[in-house]
Amino acid sequence: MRKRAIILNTAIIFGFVAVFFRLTDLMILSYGRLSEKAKMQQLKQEDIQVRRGLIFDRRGRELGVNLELESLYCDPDAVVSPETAAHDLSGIIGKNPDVILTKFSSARRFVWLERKLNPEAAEKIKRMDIKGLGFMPDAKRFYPKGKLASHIIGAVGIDNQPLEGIELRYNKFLKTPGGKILVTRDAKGRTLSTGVDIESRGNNIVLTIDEGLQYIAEKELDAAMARWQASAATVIMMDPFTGEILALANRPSYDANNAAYAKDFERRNRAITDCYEPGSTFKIIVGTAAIEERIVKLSTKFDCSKGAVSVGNSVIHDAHKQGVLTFKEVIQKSSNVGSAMIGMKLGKERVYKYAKRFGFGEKTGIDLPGEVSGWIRPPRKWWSGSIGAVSIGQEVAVTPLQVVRAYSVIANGGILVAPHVVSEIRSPAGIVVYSFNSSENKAVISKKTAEIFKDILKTVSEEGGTGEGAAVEGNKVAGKTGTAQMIDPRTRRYSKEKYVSSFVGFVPADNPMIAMIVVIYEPKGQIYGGVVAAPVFKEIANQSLSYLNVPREDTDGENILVVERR
Amino acid sequence: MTHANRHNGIFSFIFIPLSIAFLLFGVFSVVWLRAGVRTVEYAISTLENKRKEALNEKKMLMAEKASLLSVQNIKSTGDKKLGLIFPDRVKVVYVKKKGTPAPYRASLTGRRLTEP
Repeated sequence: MRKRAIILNTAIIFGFVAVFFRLTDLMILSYGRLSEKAKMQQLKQEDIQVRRGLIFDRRGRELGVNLELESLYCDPDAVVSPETAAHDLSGIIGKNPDVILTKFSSARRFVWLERKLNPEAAEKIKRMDIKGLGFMPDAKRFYPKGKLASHIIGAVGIDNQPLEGIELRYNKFLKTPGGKILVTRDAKGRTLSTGVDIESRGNNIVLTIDEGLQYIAEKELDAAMARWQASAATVIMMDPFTGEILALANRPSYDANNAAYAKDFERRNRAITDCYEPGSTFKIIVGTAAIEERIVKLSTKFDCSKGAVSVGNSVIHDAHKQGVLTFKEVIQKSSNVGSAMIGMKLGKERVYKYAKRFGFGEKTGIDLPGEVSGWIRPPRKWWSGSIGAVSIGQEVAVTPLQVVRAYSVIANGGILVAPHVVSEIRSPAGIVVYSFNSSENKAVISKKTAEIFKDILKTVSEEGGTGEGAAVEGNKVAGKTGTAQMIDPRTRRYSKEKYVSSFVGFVPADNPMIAMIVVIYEPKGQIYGGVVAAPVFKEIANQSLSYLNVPREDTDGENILVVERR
Repeated sequence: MTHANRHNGIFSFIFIPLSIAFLLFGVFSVVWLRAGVRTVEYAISTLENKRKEALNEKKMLMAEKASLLSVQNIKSTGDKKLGLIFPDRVKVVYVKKKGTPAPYRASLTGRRLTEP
């Protein structure tokens, strides 16, 4: 009995000693090797999901959001029956089976089959349970308003890399660095909670544009394109006091959701990238300069009865003979002859000085990519007839944005504002990380000059003015028509068929809410800004004032319906 | 000596089993606690996945809502389905509560973002 107890005790002791040695080996001697092995089995490195910040309009309406989709990949070695798989997949992802087969025959271990599948297609493929296929979460940029404001918002590529517009210009705010994260998983591959969010979001951008105004502008621009069979068109609507762009639209345009299929001419943001000769809208320069420099009075008369005036080696003509015109009438009736006479009175140095003061020949600094500066030659490079040509808006190249900014100077009492489309940028937590600062605004003419010229511009849309078609019922419009010949690229001379028609102004004239320019390129049937562009201005202004709850100025005591503004 | 032996007997009889019981209890507690933590981690992980799915769904719904609430869509519905027309400006007067009418300030101040 005792002998058996000794044997049992000895066996137990040896057993414990063996366990002790094994534990010593596992926990001390082989600790490093085994813990590394365990880590490799238990820990998995995952990408932090990077999501671009959202884009909102000025009222917080979503213009650019992210969709959570899945992308399909394959490990060609692991696909058991490539032909069958290719055939089955082709019906769902809409690709030729041969194309899919080519991907299955790749030597690489990871091949994309289809990026950003819609949820229904992904679900169908998952149900098919094809070996060798896998899914990865992938965010897709989505622009819920489609074509609307596509030239401002821009677009991204397949890997969410910025291509155009705000997406490109403010990419450093919208994107986020991402990185890797270690997650613990069990033997079945199930991941355990990491306690941290594996999604990293970029900053959100609030634009100055208003979806409602943008819609009105684009709708009327489409109508104008159809009405005049034009090659292109642009509208810019701006707050004349702050430089906030309320709407900016171009035609042709594109749907940012399908940016890959858009053609170059559709992507062009003509409002800031295309130059044109402004024609009569440039008469703001000689008009304001003449008042500011006290060269003329409103009653100063100019003899335009001959319908032409010689300037150096060239002759400036009016479309119709106008007779003797006062300074005010020269602008109202858009007399080229009268404007050239004013320009000659001013002299080329002063005309150039004021053109530069109004920001022509320089970029406005708008926060969109691709802006051009336009050009105006320095006076030393002018030829004898240049003073006449520049006075009527020839021999200069401007962008629509430069012109509407110049007219905003009249609207706001002499201040050259900085146009911009981004109001503020907020972190995902709502903290403001960037806010537009308009400290660069500077006075370029006196308030008095601006007031006098505003009164003249009001007459343009009144009876006898060239821009009668822009008159809005109930509110006064101050503005100017422009009609300019385009350069024919074949002959390099002014074309007799291709014109640019424009109207630029602000409304209500005495308490301006919006400054706006309408530019129609190559209209068919009519060429004059007052006929082609002014009615577009009227339609947009009329609807915009209604949208902004701006009351009419002529209806006191005649109202039927009372609407309280909240 | 007899007295000392009695003490040893009590020690063996009470303290050793008690110590072993404590030891076993301690080991069991640690194992039980770790198992509990692991179970909670699984539960949290499942909930996190559900949350993620819900947030993804929310993003999709937000995009759909933004599309449906576009001015273009609302106008189209108003015009074609509901027979609404834009009011004649001459028949509308806006009673100003304060300030002059102006475009909304470009800001999200006071507005809750739709983003999670």
